[in-house]
Amino acid sequence: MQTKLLFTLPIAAVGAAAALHATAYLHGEAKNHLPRFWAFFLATLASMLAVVYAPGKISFLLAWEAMGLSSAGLVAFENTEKTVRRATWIYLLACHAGACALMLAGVFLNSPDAFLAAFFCAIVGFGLKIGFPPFHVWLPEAHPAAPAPASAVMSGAMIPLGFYGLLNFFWPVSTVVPYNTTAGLTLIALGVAGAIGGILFALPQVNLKKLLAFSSVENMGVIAMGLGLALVANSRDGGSLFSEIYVLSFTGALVHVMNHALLKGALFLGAGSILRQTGTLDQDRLGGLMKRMPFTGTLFTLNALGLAGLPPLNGFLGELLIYTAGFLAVRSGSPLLVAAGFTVLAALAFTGGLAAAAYCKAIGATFLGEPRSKAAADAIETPKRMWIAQLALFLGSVAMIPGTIFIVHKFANGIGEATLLTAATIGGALVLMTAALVGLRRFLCPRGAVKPQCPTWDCGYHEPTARMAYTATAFTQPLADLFAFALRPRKHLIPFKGHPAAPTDAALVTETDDRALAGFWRPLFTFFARAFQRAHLLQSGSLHLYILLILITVVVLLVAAFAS
Amino acid sequence: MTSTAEILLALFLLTNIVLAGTGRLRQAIRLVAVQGWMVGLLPILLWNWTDAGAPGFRVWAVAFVNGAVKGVALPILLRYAADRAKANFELEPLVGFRLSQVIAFAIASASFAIGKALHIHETVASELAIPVAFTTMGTGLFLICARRKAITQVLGFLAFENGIAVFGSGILLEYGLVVELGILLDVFVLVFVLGIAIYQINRTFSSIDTDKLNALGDVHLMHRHQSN
Amino acid sequence: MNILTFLLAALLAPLLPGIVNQTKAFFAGRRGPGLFRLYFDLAKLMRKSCPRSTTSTWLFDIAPSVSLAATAIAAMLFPWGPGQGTFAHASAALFFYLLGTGRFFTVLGALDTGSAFEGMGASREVQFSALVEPIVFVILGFLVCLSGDVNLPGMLGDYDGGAWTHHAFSLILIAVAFFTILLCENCRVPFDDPETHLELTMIHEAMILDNAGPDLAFILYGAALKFELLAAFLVAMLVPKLSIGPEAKTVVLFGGILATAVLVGIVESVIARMRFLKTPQVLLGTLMVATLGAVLYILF
Repeated sequence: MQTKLLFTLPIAAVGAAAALHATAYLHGEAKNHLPRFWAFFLATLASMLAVVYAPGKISFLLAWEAMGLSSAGLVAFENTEKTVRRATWIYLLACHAGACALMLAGVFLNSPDAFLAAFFCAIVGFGLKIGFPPFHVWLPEAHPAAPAPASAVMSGAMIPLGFYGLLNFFWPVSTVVPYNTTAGLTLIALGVAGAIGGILFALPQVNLKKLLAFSSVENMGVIAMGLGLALVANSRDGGSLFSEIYVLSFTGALVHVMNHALLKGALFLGAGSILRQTGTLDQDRLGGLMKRMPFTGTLFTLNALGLAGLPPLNGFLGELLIYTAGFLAVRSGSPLLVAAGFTVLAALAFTGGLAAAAYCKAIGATFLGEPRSKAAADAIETPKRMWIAQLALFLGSVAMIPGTIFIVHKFANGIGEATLLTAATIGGALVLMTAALVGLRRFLCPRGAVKPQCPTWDCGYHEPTARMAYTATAFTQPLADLFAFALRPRKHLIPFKGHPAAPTDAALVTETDDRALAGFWRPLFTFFARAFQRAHLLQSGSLHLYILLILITVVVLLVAAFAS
Repeated sequence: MTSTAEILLALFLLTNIVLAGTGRLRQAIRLVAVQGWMVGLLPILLWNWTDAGAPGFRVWAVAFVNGAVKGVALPILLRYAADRAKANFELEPLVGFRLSQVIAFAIASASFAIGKALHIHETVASELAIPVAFTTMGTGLFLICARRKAITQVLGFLAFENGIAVFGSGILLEYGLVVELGILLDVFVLVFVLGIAIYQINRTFSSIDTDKLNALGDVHLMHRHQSN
Repeated sequence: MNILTFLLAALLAPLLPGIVNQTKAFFAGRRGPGLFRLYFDLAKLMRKSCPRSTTSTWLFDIAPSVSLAATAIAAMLFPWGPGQGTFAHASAALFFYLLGTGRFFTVLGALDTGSAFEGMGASREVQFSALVEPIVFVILGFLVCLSGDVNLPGMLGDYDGGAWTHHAFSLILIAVAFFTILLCENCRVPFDDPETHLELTMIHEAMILDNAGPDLAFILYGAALKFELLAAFLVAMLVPKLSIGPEAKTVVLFGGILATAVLVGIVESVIARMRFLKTPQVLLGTLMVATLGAVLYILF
């Protein structure tokens, strides 16, 4: 029951906020388009609730399919654009492939011997929704294509429902202890790959919504790491230490589901506001929006701070629980758990560092500095409703701080609760200390004392322009180059031409596309297409051959039936 | 004294990882020299002072000769050869430095796994000496394969020899030292010869890039190609 | 006692850059700017005003304050004195994430100016810190194994002295790794050169080009405090439980911090800053050294 509530909350919160945001976001749309949006939007919300409250396997599957179909309608909202149609197509394929795998999982689930097969089918099926690599293929396509309120709901509330499915059908797995280790290690491996891979691909994206979509892959990876660690701890025979690790990492993962829902929902809404006010999401063409859209900018900054997992916001508390579980695992003495603990610790830390880098870039390139295009320079603040929706989600995540403490108090007393309380207290102290220092600074240099009239000191340049500022691409270039072996960025260089004294314009464009489609799915599909081409031999069109085939089949079946 | 010896062994392991990642010839020579001093110091630190009393003259002598030859004489010779050959300061890698470092790490991990599996506790002065020795040998061999210049190959060979020396002092204390001296003499002569060879290669080809020596092997092919 | 040692630490922080600079001056044969230079600088800066560019926003105004606040709170978590300290259950993850919050705002403050040079510094800062994070947590994992305690006060220096006789090998590897991150996190040579006067070659100094007055004072003091914190972490990590009185232990801690500053000065005197392209490789090597240290502790 508690997990049901826990997964209902994001649907309700993000759904409501997204609806409020959408009323303003869709303001300029043609009148006859609006019913289509709201119909699919409400159908999506309803089917998500149906998924959570489905009483059995069949109804769950039905609701699951309905959820995929109705949200595909949302993705296809701006269906006049070719990229949107392509994204919808990929999303639909992913949904149906996932449902297929889930049906198979349901079949296997009936026999206790086939537990592992059921689990792996479920990993594929739910993974296609959650976005485990390489199943994340639809996320970076569908999220930028969908209207922002729809992406907020899909990313914040819908993706984690995959974890709900896993928990619902495969938890607790304590009756089949040997499988727990395999299942847990699988989840940890997928989590590490998803977290690090997701955030690495998020870094160089210039499209803000694409960045957020890859960051969802990262956050789902973090959750998977927490759940995996919990399973591995659960599979070892051990005393209270092991159950403590189990509870802490499990709770940490669930708390992270909540945090991600609220904060990522708010960030997608923020991206929607930017798109509506400027007409672009290309970070290299934005900039300077903090002055022009102060509420959106401030809220985006705060939400990003939370999602980067930094104190004092609640994003940190979820990760802290997983860290504490990792520390406990490291000293547990069971070799497998020690290795899992070290892996989770290092991967989580690396993800945290990269996430901070990615969000610094997103905020810096979008909101700070000078505007890099006329569209950004002319932007104005959104209608109130749009930023109030983001504010509501942010306040929800702040309210999650006592909520997290309550949850941990209820399930994991002992070391987890004490650590969490200290962290929350310290977070409060940090806010107070900051306020004190800001006050001291205000006292030392009052606002009116020095008029802010000088331009930025750009090391001697008299008239710095926005073109000189670091762009989003430039900011992440060192990291992108460092991991070029995985990211494979494509660089188009248009070199200087003409005489050196009067050169023509030069340009460098870097694109980092998702590797899953070109590197995994396309070869896979090509392979199957080739294999099925061979079967064309049978489809010759000759009736005689068909009858012969039917005859052979019947004979073989008869023989088989009698032989057994 | 084991804890001091272990600190020294840890530093020895570090020199290997740094050596795999270094891009400068002089730094590489310096690192191998540091390894030489450590090889000299190791037998004394590994000596069981409490039970066996002060080590005899032979141990001191071997330690001194080891340190002097590997830590001072050979590096000076190499430095001299590098200067005479006017070698570029950059090492030219066939395998990138980052990957080299990862490989050195892998070699170290494998060595510790092997060292743990070997179970030779009775004769070993320190449990860590064997893995460190294996790591050093592995890194040396790897450097010989993965670097282009002839002089780096000499360096890799020296590192390999340092590994043998650590192995010797780790496993067979007193008896090993005599064998060790014999090997040392071989190495000394070898490095001497190689030093002269590098100088000669450089004078003939005006480079010490061993890739260019490949051309020697392809001479008959080139002839055939031309006659066609 | 705890409050007193914390205040002593807070007072002592600006001395450390002075020690580093004096050591470097000694090696270079100069007289040096004096041990207490930073105190005078801070006093001078606090009396000045904060001009601000027309480009920047409220983020630029609060960034130095947040950064200093986060470092100061992290300093409060550190077990300076004997005993368990005020926050017995402060997680080590919290300690390092607080420093991360400070860095997040410093970087945003730098980007807020729209300056190309500050953007460059910010870009390098996030790159190197992202690479440092996993090393930090591998070392923390090692410390958890060593002390059996997951909290910061218990984790530091609460292990048996016997570890140095049995696990000297691992401890040395971990110490070397932590010293390397100390240099990287505090923007010291060979990762960053605080002394150059070319914006292209700096990281931390490039990010704060536009700050002046009390803002700059906050940043400089925060940097000194962070240096002291990590040095204290290194010392507390290496000194096991000693059978000496609490006062003597405090003396050991602060003596160790001063010695670390001298060591940093010596390092800066004998090696040059390396190319930025080389830094990831060095950090990769450091990660491996830390991993080896941790794994060997568990295996042997």
